[in-house]
Amino acid sequence: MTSRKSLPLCGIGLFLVIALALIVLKAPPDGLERGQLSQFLGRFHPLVVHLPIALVLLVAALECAGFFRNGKHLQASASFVLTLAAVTALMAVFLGWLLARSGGYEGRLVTRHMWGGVSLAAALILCCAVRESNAKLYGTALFATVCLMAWTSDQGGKLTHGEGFLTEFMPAKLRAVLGVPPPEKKHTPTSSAVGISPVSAGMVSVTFFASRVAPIFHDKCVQCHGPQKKKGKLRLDTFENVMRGGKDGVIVKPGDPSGSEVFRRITLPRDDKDAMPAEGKPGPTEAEIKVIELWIALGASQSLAAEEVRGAPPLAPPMTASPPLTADYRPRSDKIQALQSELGVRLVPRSQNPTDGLILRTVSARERCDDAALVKLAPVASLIVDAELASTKVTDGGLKTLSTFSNLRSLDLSHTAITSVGVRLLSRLDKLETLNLTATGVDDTGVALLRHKVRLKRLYLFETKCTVQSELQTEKQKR
Amino acid sequence: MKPESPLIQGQCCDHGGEGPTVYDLPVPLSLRQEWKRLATRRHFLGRMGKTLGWAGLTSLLGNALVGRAAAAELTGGGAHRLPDFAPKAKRAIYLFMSGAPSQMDLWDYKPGLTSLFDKDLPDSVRGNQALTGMTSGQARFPIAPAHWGFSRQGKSGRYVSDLLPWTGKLVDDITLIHTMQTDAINHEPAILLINTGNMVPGKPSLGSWLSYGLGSMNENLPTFVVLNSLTIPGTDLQPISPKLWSSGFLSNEYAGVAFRSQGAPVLYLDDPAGMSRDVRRQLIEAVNTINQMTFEEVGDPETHARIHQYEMAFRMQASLPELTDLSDEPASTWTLYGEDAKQVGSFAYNCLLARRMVERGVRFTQVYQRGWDVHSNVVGNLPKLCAATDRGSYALVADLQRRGLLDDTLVIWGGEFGRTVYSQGGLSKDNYGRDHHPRCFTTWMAGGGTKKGHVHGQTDDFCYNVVKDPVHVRDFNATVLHLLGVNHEKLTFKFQGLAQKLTGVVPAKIVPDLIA
Repeated sequence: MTSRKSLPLCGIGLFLVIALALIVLKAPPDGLERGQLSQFLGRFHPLVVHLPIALVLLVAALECAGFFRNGKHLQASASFVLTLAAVTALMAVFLGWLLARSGGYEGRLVTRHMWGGVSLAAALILCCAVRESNAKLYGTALFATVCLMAWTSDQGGKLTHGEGFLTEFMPAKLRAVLGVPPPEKKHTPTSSAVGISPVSAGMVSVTFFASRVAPIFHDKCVQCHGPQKKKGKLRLDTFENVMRGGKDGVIVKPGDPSGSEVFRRITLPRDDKDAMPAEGKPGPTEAEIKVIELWIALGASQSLAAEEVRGAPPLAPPMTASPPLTADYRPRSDKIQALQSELGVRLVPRSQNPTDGLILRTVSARERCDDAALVKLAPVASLIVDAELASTKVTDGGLKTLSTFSNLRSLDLSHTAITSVGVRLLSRLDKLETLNLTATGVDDTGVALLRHKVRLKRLYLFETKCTVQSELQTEKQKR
Repeated sequence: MKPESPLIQGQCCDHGGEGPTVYDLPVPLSLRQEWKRLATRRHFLGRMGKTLGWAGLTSLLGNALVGRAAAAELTGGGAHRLPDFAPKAKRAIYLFMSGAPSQMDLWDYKPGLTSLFDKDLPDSVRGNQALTGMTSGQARFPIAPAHWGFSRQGKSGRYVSDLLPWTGKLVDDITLIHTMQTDAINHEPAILLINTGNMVPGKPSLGSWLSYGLGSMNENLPTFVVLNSLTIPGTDLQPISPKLWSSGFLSNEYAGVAFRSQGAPVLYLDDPAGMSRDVRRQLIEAVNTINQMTFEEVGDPETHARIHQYEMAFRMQASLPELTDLSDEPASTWTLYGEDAKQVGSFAYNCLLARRMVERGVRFTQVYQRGWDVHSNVVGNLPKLCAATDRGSYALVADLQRRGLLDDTLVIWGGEFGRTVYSQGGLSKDNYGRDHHPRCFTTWMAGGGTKKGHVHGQTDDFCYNVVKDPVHVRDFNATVLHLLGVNHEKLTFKFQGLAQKLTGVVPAKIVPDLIA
């Protein structure tokens, strides 16, 4: 009985879906901006769209509740919720179309999302129609609907937040299990932005556009003016697209920053309605404005080399992780702890980045730090990049051990009893950059070998018998 | 070690030789009960977190969580964190010129002023700036050019005042900032602002933040030491007080430990005759036990700070004599620092002591030299001040350099603000005075990852306004923290509803141009 009563309703629904599909087919999103009313209504799409999502999930939950004896009364309401889901899905699709037509959207993602929405509405109406009459078909249809909804929502999410938004911070292990590719490095413009242009055979030079300008566009603009959203028919993801401009024409006039639309928009007061990036998005910094101004003033060139540009604001100091100096120390934490309490020395991570290595710090236990202690440190030797051994009991014998600490960058042996005999062994340390031999027994014969080490930048020989001190230091500083 | 708070002293009383007990503390019963209740709840939650949290979450959150825990273990736990990134500088020395040195007499060469002697400073330059009460009533603002000549120094050939024959030699090794700016025009707020990041007292100082944030390198010495230099007769002294090296709302153990400039550097550190180290150890352990009982009873974290201080004092009994015994210094030290450095408490002596503390793992040393407040008699006093500080500052940088310590030690020289180009009081060919000037002043930095032979920023021809690249105190402090591996936005402490930080709530930015 009920199924028959609901059939006319389903008919109306089906009619609406077909009507929507036809509209969508006739007028797909084309990136052009249209009337204010459609924009106003369209912007409710991201709000309304959550209703069918929640309701479909609720239907699934209610139907599942029906499997249990004390959940039957819950299942009874599934039919009503399902109808509601279908109605809201229709609304969401319509509003979504208005939004898509109001400008800034075109391309693969938005088309997929749109058809996903239409299909979802259709599927929900189908579910309504068969729920009472065919339990098996209904079960299959509902399951398929939930899957379809998940896919459609994912497309929508990518549209608003950009691809890879969900998985950007996925832990590496989980990523491996799910087969998700590692996240794209930020601030690296796509290859089409022509990051590196060959200057002459074998020589490469970084261009000002690729190294300074493109990263700003990618950081602040491409989310709305890129391959996914093209507000105002403008794309800022490649050099060619930047120069092509948008629906209001060219945005860059080479040599004339103040006449260039892009410069005008980013320098407008932040409360101006034309100011870019649009309200709510982080505005450009002074340095970024300066870079864009310089770039346009110098002719908006794609090939101008970065080092040819004078007066560009310096890049912010890199905060990103440096290349690993050692293996991650954390799996060895127990061993490190044990050595610390046994020897009284400290093994301090250089930073929160676990591959920056450890500092061997002995200042609180100089008396206890001798050759034997160094031997005991061998299990973690490869993690130590900086050994502070000033005023310890280390002798030439200990330097033999130290010469196997292959990751050492900095070694302070000042005020120890070492001599040239031991120091010669240190020439094995290929990565050593700083060596402090102040107030030791070393003489010219000991440092002769070290002088040829390319990596060694600083060698301190104050208060020793060495005569080459000044020569070595200036020589190294030149490099 | 540090001035005793009268409040805490008053709380302890001696019961016929039995010593203080926790029951003597004037803590209301209701507070004690509240603490008990909190302790129980914390205990329960803590245990629950351990059993549930570790089992389930370690595998899932993997790196982030285990990493933090491992790091906490390796740094000794507590509040200390690891640097946000591997820093160039492991430690810093701040040579603080209290009273505000005159930038145009020392570092910021303005040859054009000579022809403007006794001309009025144009109103357009002064703008609408509020002056101090000391000169706002002056009928005129006559320009006072520097009384001394400037000479080219170093390979770069930069002009430095003839008052600084020694430090001038460093121009190729240091970064000069001509465009430091502050918000305050009087000493107290300005010195608080530059030392603690806030004009209002009660905030932790730069050294305390570093001590709190990065922890100790040598458990036998304080992490943050303050050295006050002997004053120079005839100079205008501004007071400095422990609030400049206070730990503010951070635990007292992060406060600077001030060494005296006369007599024993730390009072009452020597044991009385006949007391052995073992007896002293027993005594301190007994005191610690009682303090621990107090802590369990009332839960005041300052009690832990007190335990820490007793322990530190005990260890300093052994470490301090070695630190201040200069008999092991080679002859080359005295040729570099000069005979002044043999006088205990002199600026040069303190510079030498600062170098010795660098060698012994003190994280932050602040040396104060008072007297730079030259409202009058610039010509009489400035040479005295320069003579007292010039060679010591130079020797410190040069000494660190030759000993291989400058690469990872940041040295800072500067005051709390600058001085006016116009004369305060009468101007003659022979003498003049200078009032406070917050709009620009010169500070220099050496080592610790800063540029060598670099000048940052430019002031106008009157050395009055910044023309290019101002560096506000908060930007400067942000940069100092950055050089030591600390992201100033991340080193915070929640207090009074705010995530407090050294650089305050106004956005501060690192100055990349200062960094090598």
